[in-house]
Amino acid sequence: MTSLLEVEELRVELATRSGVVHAVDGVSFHVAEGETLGIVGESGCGKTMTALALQRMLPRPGGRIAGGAIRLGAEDLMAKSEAEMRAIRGRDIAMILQDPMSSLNPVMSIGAQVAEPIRAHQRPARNVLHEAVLRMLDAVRIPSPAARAGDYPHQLSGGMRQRVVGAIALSCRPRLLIADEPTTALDVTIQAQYLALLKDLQRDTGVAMILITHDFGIVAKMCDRVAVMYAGRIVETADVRTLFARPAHPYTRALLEALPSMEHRSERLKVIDGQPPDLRAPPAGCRFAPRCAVATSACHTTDPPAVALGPGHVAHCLLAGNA
Amino acid sequence: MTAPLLEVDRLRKHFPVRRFLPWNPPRQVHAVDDVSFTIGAGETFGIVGESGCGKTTLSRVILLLEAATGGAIRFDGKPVEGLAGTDLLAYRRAVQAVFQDPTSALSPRMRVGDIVAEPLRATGAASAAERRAEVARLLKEVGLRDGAADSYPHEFSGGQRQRIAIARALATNPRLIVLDEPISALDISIRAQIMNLLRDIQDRTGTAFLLIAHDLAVVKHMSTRVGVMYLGKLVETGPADALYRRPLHPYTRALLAAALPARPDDAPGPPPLAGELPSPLSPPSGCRFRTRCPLAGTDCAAAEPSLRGMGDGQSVACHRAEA
Repeated sequence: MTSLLEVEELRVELATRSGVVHAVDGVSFHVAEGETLGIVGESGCGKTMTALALQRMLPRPGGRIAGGAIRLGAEDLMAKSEAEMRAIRGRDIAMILQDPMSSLNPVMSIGAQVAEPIRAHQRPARNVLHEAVLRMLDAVRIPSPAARAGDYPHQLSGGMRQRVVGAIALSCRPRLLIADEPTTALDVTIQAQYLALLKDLQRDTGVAMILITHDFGIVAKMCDRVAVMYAGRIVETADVRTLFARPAHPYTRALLEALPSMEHRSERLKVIDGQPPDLRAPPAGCRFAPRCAVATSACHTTDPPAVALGPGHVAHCLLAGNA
Repeated sequence: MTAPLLEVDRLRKHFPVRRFLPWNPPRQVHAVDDVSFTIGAGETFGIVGESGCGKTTLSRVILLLEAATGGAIRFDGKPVEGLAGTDLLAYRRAVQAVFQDPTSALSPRMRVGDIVAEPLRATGAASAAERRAEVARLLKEVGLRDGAADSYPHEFSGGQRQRIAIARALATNPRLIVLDEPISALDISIRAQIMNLLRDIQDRTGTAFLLIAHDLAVVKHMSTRVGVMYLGKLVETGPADALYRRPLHPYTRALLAAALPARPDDAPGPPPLAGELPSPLSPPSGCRFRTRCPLAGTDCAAAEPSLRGMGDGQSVACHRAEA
């Protein structure tokens, strides 16, 4: 498999009034053509900042890429000018955000919003553009697209709105789709519909996907490989089956054990005590060590090495492989 | 048999909708329609359903934050309607609440000690010294550090804020706590901490819980009995184990099928439920689920199914359901 996206030692810093937050601190991963990589972690772990950095869309002022390399195919995204990045966004990399109500323009019809990126990147003739818009709305299963294209976002339900966001994202046939918590705002049955739709669209178009989520159920259903993030770093990467069957990092293990199960009623859930660290002054050594049940004194001082445990399975833990 | 702690009997809450033009027909949102269930002392009754099904309205009517349009609520066998003076105060002491978002549930201008003491001040005659001692005991019970009473809510993380909200709910020694999505605003590693805390409190104090949540695994983990709501109606109730093992209503089955897998290799469920929630302004005639139901026939449009017992304490409102 060829790598579509390669990220090496990415570092993102956010300048805030109370100091510099090291939101992403040396993150490396790759995404192959057509595959789905899940980035899973809790709020504040840097998963969204990683996604924004890939498109060089960090919040301004304050956000900046402090180091690392991002390559999409043969292109070095770090070396692109702002104008070149504008041409890449929407055409090669597209994004779906969590809340469709705030990603859609409330005073623009949905048809016009789907047309916008196509017009910007391809400058087609009017009738071609119209056809393309209806085709996209149909592809995301908006019923009777010709009749609905003139509707405004408030006339649609939450699930339909998120489909429109999907249509906008995929309208220029991007090579990489970044979906950041795409179903968090949706109900259970609507979430199931939307995830099934994303899978169908991926099969039809071959788009590679980075799926950012905090929900291991979505990871299990959707992803080929998974990267688990904690406090600005990737702590474990594995293919999805290995991650669920043999989680090697204590954080991954603890997260999986903290989930309630529908199968059996356990008396108590295992918990991770404490809170994630303050990323203005992250702890030395392993960032999970202060909350880790098996940490040794070395864990508090030594940066954990990347330990290869199998094909594509890497855990950043001093103790990985010994257990 | 002694009377249940809380008895909800054909409870109804309709909200009038403002007419756009004076000659338009009056319309009402049927938020809760003929809902009946009971909660025994010390048990947890979980209500699941998607947004808009009326589960939060139901809890607000029970908390007397909204007046019922019809039906009755009995607490300890005595009707709640028309309570006034000391009787009303006693009910408010006995029934407390914890809401989804602890940040908006706690006043940012009050010290934590005052927040937790407020129910004592509002409903009791405890002296200031007694209140201080009680606050210290409550904060310890929910696992907050010494000295938390003198801090403000913004100095705490989301999980700790929810602990403050729980301490406040416990202040009056309630016999029933309404938990409206108590963990859905929290991170996964914190959710398990709060679920364990709630179960510990219940073991120690014998408080009953009415748990409202959309996460099926959370409801299963916490509840002794479960009710499933759809568009203002309770469509199925039963002991948690039986209901999850043998769901009888087609909507319950669809909800369980739409739940995300626990592991990547779990067999994919049946295709997700098609369509979306109809408007509660004009719910479908007969069975409200019939527009999305795979089993619906003409009789489902003609007659509204009512809850009927199916053995093992399970009841279902469906013409087609068979034990």
